[in-house]
This record gives sequence, structure tokens and C-alpha cells, in this order.
Amino acid sequence: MSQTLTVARNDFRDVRRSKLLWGVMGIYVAFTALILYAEGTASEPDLATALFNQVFLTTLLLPLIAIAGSYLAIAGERESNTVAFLLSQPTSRAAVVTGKFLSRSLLIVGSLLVAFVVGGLIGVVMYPSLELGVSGTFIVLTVVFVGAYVGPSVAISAATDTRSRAIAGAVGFYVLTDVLIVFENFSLVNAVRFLLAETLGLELGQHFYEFVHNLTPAGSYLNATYLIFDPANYLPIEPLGVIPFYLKPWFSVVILLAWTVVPLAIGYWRFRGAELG
Amino acid sequence: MTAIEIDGLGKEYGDLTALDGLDLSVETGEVYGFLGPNGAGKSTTINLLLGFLDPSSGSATVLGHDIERESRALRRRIGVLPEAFSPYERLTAREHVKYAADLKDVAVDPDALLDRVGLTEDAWDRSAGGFSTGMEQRLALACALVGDPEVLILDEPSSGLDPRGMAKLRELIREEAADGTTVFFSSHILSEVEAVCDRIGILVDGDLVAEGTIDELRDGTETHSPLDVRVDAVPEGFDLTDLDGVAAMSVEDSTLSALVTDAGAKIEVIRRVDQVAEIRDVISEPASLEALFDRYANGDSAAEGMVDADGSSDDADGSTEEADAGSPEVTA
Repeated sequence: MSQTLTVARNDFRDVRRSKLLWGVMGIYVAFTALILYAEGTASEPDLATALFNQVFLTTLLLPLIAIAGSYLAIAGERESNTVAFLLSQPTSRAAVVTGKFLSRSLLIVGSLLVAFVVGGLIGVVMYPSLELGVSGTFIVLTVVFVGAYVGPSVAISAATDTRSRAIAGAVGFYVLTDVLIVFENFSLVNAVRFLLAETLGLELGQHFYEFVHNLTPAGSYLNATYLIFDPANYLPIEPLGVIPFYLKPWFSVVILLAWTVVPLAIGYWRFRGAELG
Repeated sequence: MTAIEIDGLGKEYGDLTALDGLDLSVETGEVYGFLGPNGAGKSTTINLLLGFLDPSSGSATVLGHDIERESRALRRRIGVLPEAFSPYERLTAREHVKYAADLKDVAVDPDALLDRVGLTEDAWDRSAGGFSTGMEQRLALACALVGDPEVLILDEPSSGLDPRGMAKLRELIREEAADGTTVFFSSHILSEVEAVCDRIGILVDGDLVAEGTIDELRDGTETHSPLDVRVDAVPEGFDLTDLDGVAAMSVEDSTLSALVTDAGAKIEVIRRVDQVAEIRDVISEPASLEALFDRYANGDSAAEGMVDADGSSDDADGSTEEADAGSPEVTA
């Protein structure tokens, strides 16, 4: 445990001095401010509407920032050979993986908090209320969402030995689980539906495809936003109706947590058996 | 007591054999020079000891800890200067030493260590990204010394060091050895190893080809001492290998080089040459470890070329020449 914290502390110290990374994370802060400001100039600014836009932005942008902040966590050390220093000490490889995950998560969450503080200030000035129930749930859910992309990115980084493979893996993961999920027109779920229903003639029902959608980190994040926005009060969202448990918003949170932990375990397993140098 | 015990350790990558059943043991308190040209398998051996690589065959222990099953316990008790050490660009020298100490779970005085390896004080709080290779190497050495380890494993510690840095390194190794620390030290430069090591092993193509104290190795080479005779011109087809005590002969330009196995044969060689050419100079080298290392380092074919008295062998020629240079630096 203490080795995990040692790795996390020193990795955080190293990576927080990277100006490039701060630039990338500044983008999220800037977009947050822009969205809240734009809605704030409306005649009756509504925080829920602003957050609804923010959710969409977050779904697309935050994974990229999480990837940029963590894809080199371990592969970068292997490429530059700092890993020789790290593992010449009695460092366990599990501590490397968990420590890196901790520090990179902290880094991304830290920049999120900056964005939320800036957003909060705009909210205080321009909106009638901060609607803490809604915005608080949004913040907690978004922090969970960070883990669902930092986990896989660190895992891919642990399973690869060069910068180029790590970035290819992480971007591939982003495209498959985010870009091709969020936009319904070219969604992977539709591709699966086409394959199973049209080609193989399987009648699996709507719930099945919604579950496939919900199984991806972006899909489960979007589904979990039912915890933020009450369809009864907020019209753009359709009521959930009668659904099985695996489509319920709380189950989406479980899926997000699984996306954090399971890839890390696989990444550790690969890194544990990896040869260095 | 044995500090490092290597038993038939082998490493293969597909068809390529990086290390071929290495047997080696290093006693506690000994300074062992692990010598060989680049690519001989020195770093492979060290990376196997550290658990960076998995052996294809054989086994090894360091301080009694099995390299595969007890790697962490093993690494807790040793200090390592790894091959091609690379620091974290945005961490300072002090932070590196502190990091190593925290990972080892020991207390440390970073300033004392950094001072000891000769890193100047103005660099202690600077990011290591701006360090020269020599400074990086000193920092690596400081990190290796954290926790006063029982065994020091240094992989090419002198690379990037200037002569002053090398002197400092030798002094450090002597101090550590005096303190009872076992030092396992790899290098491709003989003179470095010779100056501080109790025992030397020469590794070529994944094989230990010679091992012993400096004196033992020198004794082994005494039978082959080089003799160079510079003349105005060497007659075509001139051959000395029929003489007793001449193991090999080669010619380059106007210099005739013979490898003599019996000191008494030297005068006979000179007489013979004097009959056919005008002698300008005679250079008789003492039997040298350099020649031996060079012979191994340049590959067996060169050595065989000499022994087979293949007079036209350029390789054999080259090896004698390099031996004259004193500290052969080999890239094979």
C-alpha cells in the first residue's frame, strides 16, 4: 500500500510539471465556462439546461483528456527506460499500476474541479440557483466517469511497451467505446443490431440493444444521467418507463466502476508477465 | 559465502541465444568484473538477475534469494545502476534519491549521497531532464547506494563519465568493497575493470570464455606475447611459423608481428628476419591481458587466425595492434 502511494506521489509530482498536459486540461475548463456563460446570457437561464449541454461535451471531451493524461503512464516509462530505475528498487508491479492509476485519476479529477469551481462562480453570478442536488450529482457522476477512461488507459499503457502502441490502443478504445456509441447515426449498437437482426434474423428485443449501449462507458455515463435529471421536471429527457435492472441508472454506475477496475486487473496481469529491456 | 550464484542460466529469443548456460559465482565482499564486448550478454545476465527478464533455462540466486520467486526481497537488499539509466525529466536529483529510498522503505540523506558521487550542489534541486550523461550516471550511482546495499550491481557504470568521474567511481567501488559490499560490475573496457576488480569473467557471445584473478589471467596469457619487427620490406611468402615457439605470424605494411610462446624464440625470430630484411625497429610487448581480452572480444575467428599461423589474416593483425593501444574499446 505504501509503495502504491510512493509511486502515486512521485508520478504526480513528475506529471503535474508537464505544461502540455495542463494545456490539454485547460480545454475542458474553457468549454465548461463557455457553455455556462452562453446559457447564462439567456433571458431565464436554467442550470439544468446548461448541465445537459455539459453532459454531452463531457461525454466526448473528458475521455480524450483522460487518455492524454494517462496513456503514457507506464508505456512512456518503458520507452524512456525510467522503468529500469523504478523496478530496480523492490517495487511491486501491482504498486506501479495502482499508483499510476491513482496519480493520473487525481490529475484529471483535479482539472475537473478547477472547471467546476469556474463553472460555480459563473453559476453564482448568472443563474438564479446553483441547484446543488442536480449539479452535485453531475460532479460525482463525472468523477466516476473519469475512472472509466483512466482505468483502461493506464491498463493499455501497462500492456504496451512503446508510446505509439499505447496511443493507438487508447485512441482505438476511445473511438470504439465513445465516438461510435454517442452518435446514433453511425453507432456500433446499430451495427450489432444490423448483424444480429437483419443478417442472422435474431429477434432479441429493444432491451438487448439498450443493454449493449449501456455496457460501454460512454453509454452507461449517458444512461446514468437519469440520476441527474428528473424526466418529470426536465422535458428533453424521455421517461424511463418499465425497464429491467440492467438498464437502470444505478446499474450504469456499477458498469462504470467495472470499466475502472476490470481493465486495470487485465493490464496488471499483462504487465506482471512482461519482460523489460 | 556466495553473494551471487548463477547456475546454467540461459536466455533465448526465438533462434537467438543471448545467454548460453552461464555458470558464475561471486563471493561475498568480492569485486567482480563482468567483462565483454557490447552484445555479449552482460546486460541480459543483469536483467535476468533483476527479474526484468525470465530465464529460458537455469537458475540463479542473489544473497540466497531466487531471482524468479523472490525478486522483491532480492531487490530490497541490493543497489542497482541499470543499463542505460534514464531519469525522470521533471524530477530533481534529490527527488530521485528520495524516491528510491521510499520504494526501499529506508531512511536516506540525499545530500550526503549526491555529494558522495560527485554531483555538484547546484544540480541537486534541478530537474534531471537537463542533466548531461555524466550527471545522469552519477545520479544513478547515488540511487544505487541508497540504503547501503549488501550487493551493488553496476551495469556499465562508467558510460558517459569523464576521467575524473571514472576515478571517482573507482574510489567509490573501493570504499564500498572495503565496507564489505559485494560489487558486480559490468564493462566493455578492460582497464576499468582491471583497476578495481578482485576477479574478472570475460563473456563473449553469451559464453564465459575466461575467468580468474587478474594474475591468473595474466599467467594464462604469458605463453602468448606479441613481438613486432618493423623492417624496410617483408619478402613475399616469408614464414616464421616453422620455428619452435612461434604460434602465429602476420604482416601489415612493413611490420611483421609474431605471437611467441617461448621468450627464447624472440631472438631467433629477429635473427631470421635480419637475414632477409633490414630491421628498423623491434617492439617486444610483455604478455598482456589486453591482448587476451582483445583476442576474445574480437571473436574467436581472429584468435584462431593467429594460432593457425594464417599470415594473411587481417583480423589477427588488428588484434595485435589494438593490444598496443593499452585499453581496447571494443564494439562487437
